[in-house]
Amino acid sequence: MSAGMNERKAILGEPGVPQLMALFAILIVFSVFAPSFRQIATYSNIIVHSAILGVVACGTTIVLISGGLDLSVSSIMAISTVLVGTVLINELPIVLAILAGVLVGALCGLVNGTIIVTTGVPAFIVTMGMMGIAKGASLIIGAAKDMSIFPKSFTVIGTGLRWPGIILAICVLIIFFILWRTRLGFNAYAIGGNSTVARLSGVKVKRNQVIYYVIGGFLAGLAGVMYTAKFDLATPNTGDGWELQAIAAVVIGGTSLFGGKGGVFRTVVGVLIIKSLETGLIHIGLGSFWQRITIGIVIILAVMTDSLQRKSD
Amino acid sequence: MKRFGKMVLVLLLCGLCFSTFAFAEGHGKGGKMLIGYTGFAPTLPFSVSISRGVQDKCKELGYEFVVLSPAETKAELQVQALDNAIIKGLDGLVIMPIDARALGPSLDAAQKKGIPVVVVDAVVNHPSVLAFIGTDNLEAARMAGRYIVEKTKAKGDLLLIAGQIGHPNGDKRLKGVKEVCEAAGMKVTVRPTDWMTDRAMQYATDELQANPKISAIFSSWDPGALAVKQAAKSLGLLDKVIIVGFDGDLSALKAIKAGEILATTRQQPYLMGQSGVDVLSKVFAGKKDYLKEVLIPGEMIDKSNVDKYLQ
Repeated sequence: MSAGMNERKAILGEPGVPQLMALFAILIVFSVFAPSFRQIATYSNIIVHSAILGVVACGTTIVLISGGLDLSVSSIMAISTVLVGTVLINELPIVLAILAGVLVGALCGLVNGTIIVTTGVPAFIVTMGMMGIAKGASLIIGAAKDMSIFPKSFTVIGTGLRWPGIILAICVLIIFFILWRTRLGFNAYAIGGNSTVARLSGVKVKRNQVIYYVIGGFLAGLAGVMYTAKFDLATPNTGDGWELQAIAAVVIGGTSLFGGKGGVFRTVVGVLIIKSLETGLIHIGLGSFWQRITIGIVIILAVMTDSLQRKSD
Repeated sequence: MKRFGKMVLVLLLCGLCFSTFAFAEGHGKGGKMLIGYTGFAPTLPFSVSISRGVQDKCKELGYEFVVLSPAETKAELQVQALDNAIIKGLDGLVIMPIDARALGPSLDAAQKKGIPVVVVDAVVNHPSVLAFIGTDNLEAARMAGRYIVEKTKAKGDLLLIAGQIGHPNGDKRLKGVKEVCEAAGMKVTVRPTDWMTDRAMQYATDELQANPKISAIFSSWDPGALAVKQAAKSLGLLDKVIIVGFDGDLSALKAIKAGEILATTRQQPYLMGQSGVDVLSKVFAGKKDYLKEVLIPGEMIDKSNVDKYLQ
């Protein structure tokens, strides 16, 4: 295993240092220019608003590292949330609601992965199709319904910092463990780097790829559960645009869009960068249009950095 | 050694960030009052009108104004902007809820910080809300329903393009129009769109093609009415169906003048924004003589009176 670790360090390179420095730069700049930024409440608020995106992005991280792509996570969140809502308004146990949410996510991931590996159709297309299917299903189940005001014992997992923070931390640590200490995780880098070489080296590429999509789907489903708890409502509008947000967070954090490199702590940094920017701009007094421009610029810079790093490898 | 050096650097940077807490300044009470407005994304003219109302009144009273509306109409973005603004520090909030059900924790935070909150347009049931100013949506919808019945002579079916089920105004508009038209004997088909204009166009196209008996289409908001108009136009049915909207947007008024849609139900968003700031100014002065709930009646606008509002 230690030989594998050295190989891995060679593959990964330095652990996301430029991005971490960028995060600090952002925080310091806002602290200088916005007097109201300088409070603990600001930082805890950043984490509160990062939690759900962070959970989705953990799944996106492992999918991207393995060379895959999942555009359907937004719709997985939607179908997860309407199923959770349906279970709860029928006064069934909360545990059942949570299971419904995460399992439908895992199921969507399973379907995605299976179709991708058996048909060879590009992940972009397959997951785009699943995006439509899951969204349509969520509309059938949840449109034109008022599913809200859920039991406090459920919404507590989405309220404030404690439970969302704990759930995020657990997801990050589990994905980290998978990537760093298991064959499954190591294979992700191999497959993402060069899947042909991986296959010839004896890696069960197809089977592993399906598992990565299942993990991504499961986490998207979990994000849907957390969203339902946080906002105390279940509508099919949930998750719109989140697939791109998650990819943006992963890429900004320093995981390569093309696979083979990256890590989940980098993704955490990426999410924090996005949310710190959004928060800081409010403290400075700039509106939401500026947020979108800024984040768009940051994404381009991040991908440029990734490209330059690849060229120098 | 290198790794140790990196960790020290990270700790130093963290320390630097946290050391700024000593120099924190929330929004000071000494300066001008800062009022924040948040509503639907500025792509909705109705919300922009409220915003202008708030802004102009703030200017008149010498308050500072900040817009907190998200770039996309999503409940979670409104909550995020609100939470950050509350931490930053505000003296007053005028809120047009995107989804009233999602605002609980943010309003709790505002209450804790003693920030007065006025809600416009859609009702929010929360103890921290000091006043509500909005259109009497139910009555206005009934009025729209009666208008539709009058203009169609109760012949044919009504397609009701609804907003979001669970949104208080969407529900009231749906109820008001539906009950009046059904009582007159019209068959009413309801298609909820979650306030998305592309869905309005899609459903209108589908229903118009499937049901030749549709004589009237009501849209719960003007952008939806304009989308419906496009759908009817592309099917060549613009002269066979009457289209009635809700809001009173300038774009709808222009369409009425051009004869493309028949009427809309006027709201007064600019007035709502101004009234919201009026309430806040009374709160700042410690007065309590404001109404907790102001319901503004709607008004039908069609070709007969559209010129009055097209200035």
